[in-house]
Amino acid sequence: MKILSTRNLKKYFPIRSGVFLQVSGWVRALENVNMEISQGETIGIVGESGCGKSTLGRTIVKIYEPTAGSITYCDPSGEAHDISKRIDRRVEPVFRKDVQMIFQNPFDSLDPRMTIRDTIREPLQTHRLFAGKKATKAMDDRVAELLMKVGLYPEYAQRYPHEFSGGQRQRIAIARSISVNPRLLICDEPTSALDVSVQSQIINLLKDIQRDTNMALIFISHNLDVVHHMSDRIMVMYLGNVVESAPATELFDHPAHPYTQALMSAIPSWNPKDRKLGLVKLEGEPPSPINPPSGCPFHPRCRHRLAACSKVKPEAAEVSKGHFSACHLHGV
Amino acid sequence: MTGAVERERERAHERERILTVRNLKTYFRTPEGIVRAVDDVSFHLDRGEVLALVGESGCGKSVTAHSILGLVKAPPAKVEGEIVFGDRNLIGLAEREYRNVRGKQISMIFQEPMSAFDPLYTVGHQLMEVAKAHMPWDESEAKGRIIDTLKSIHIPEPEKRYDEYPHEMSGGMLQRIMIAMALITSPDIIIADEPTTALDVTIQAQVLNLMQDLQSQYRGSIIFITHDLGTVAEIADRVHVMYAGKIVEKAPVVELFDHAIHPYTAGLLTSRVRREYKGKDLPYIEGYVPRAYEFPEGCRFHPRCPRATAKCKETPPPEFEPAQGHTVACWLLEEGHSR
Repeated sequence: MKILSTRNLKKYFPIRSGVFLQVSGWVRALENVNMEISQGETIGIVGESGCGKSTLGRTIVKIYEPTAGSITYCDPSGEAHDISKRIDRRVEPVFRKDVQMIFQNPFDSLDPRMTIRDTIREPLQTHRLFAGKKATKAMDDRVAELLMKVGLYPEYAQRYPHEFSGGQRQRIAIARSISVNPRLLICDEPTSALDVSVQSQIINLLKDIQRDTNMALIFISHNLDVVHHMSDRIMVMYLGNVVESAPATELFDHPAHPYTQALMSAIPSWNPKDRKLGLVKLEGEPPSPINPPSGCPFHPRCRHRLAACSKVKPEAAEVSKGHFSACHLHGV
Repeated sequence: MTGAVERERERAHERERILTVRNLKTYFRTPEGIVRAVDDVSFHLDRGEVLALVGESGCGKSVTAHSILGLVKAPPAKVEGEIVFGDRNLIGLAEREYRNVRGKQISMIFQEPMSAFDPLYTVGHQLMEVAKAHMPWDESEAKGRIIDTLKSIHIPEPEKRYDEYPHEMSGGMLQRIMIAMALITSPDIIIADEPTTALDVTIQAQVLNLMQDLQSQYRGSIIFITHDLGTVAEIADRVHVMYAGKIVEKAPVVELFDHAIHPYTAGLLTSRVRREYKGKDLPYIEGYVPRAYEFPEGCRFHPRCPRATAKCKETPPPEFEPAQGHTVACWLLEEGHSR
């Protein structure tokens, strides 16, 4: 069952300057992003910093208003709603409960002055999931159940965030986000602030929860290996554009876009007898999204650049079944 | 063990020992108790080699670096042991003398290029400060040298960059400028504290390549501090793995990746997200890194160790040397346990 889709989604941030804060330019954070996610599915979004992957996550949950394009949300009964502008008052509570998010840094995303119990109870109260006389008791039971589910002791409910390590805090953030049984969870770099030995624990936990609840995940990360492990489908972003999207294994076996190939070549080998960093052939740095290059956004750094690349922006072409790449090399 | 000592002596003849750290202890007093951030750590560094200190947050790898550079204020902290650089012990060195070492003979590259530079001055000004403090050059000569250094690390348009402010540059560019800053004085040792952690993979590859080039060009030594074994495999000659203030395993890089012995090192190596694991659970190390003021008794890794025995809970393990140049602090190696 489809949960959410976007069509030509754009997000531009204004740059204001001068005394009257006139708009002097735009940061083009997202350009024409199309995606679709269904129940139980995981979509991975990879790219380097500034490629717009976090903006995409935040626009989907409507932390940001899209500049253009549409977001369609299907409620649990299957009815589709356009939520790109203001969300209908009857749909909003359902949407807000249905789509939850966890953030990169668990040191910032938990309120230091709230106990874990209050932190996890807050969404339950906001969405009025428990009513009546026994609500408090029922909520406490739910908190205990959630803490167990994420691998923490129920007694921890009385404690404050500072008493926990990064990995434990991220577990608390996960408990909070799944407390209202969302159908879609957006994970924005959930493991990159954590230690290596703890990263795998959190990934396993997310996978377990997904298996139990059949929720959909949008998994945003710069770490290709982690995204490959988590996702059914991967979208590679560069300067606000989706340059390639494919099923996870297909993308890793046959990366088509030169940028994806370059990204993969930069993953360390983990083998000191076969060092490969010297082989990475990617010069320069991503240009600024304020003044993106004409044509293909990747052409100034691309090794296979053609004459057309600086003039015409390539459209996504299907290179094999379900595998799309926006590059003139496989143009239509 | 005597055999090991002799072999050490032999090797010392072949290579030039440039830094020796013996029984370094750096303790901090905090409201929660005494933090034994670095606890009896010994290692050495030869000229021209890249030594990686690997460990997770709070293992003491950065405090080790700060202790070497005299950046730990003692008192209130307590720094004990020996840090022999050249023919001097750096511990207890007067601040005025330390200034001839720190930033000149031993320089440092920090993790966050964005916060390591002063946003109010141009990068040229900040590079010039280093040159003026340590080198006998006049202003115009210093500027020429700085521009040359920037050129040598492939910074495009160095003259223009010289007059720019940190906010005008990307993180990768600033990190390269920080490398230039560390190189101006032609130091014997560069300590790089997570130099690529804040960077994207493609930029990380560029910076690592650059460091490798420099290292072979200048024959300087690098202490490379990181939590990422992937980058260690790419750049290090020898690796020391730290956990909770102790070095648990020391080995040449190939040996470490092929024959890791300490359960913590093995755990770190299997924590890598491999493609074969797709659809399965990832292997991981149970539990969490302990807090610095409540390190466990005995072997500090025992609460998380799958092979811990009663002995591990009581007595901290000594260092065993199962192969030449490979030492492991783990009771598993007692009584000729072979690998």
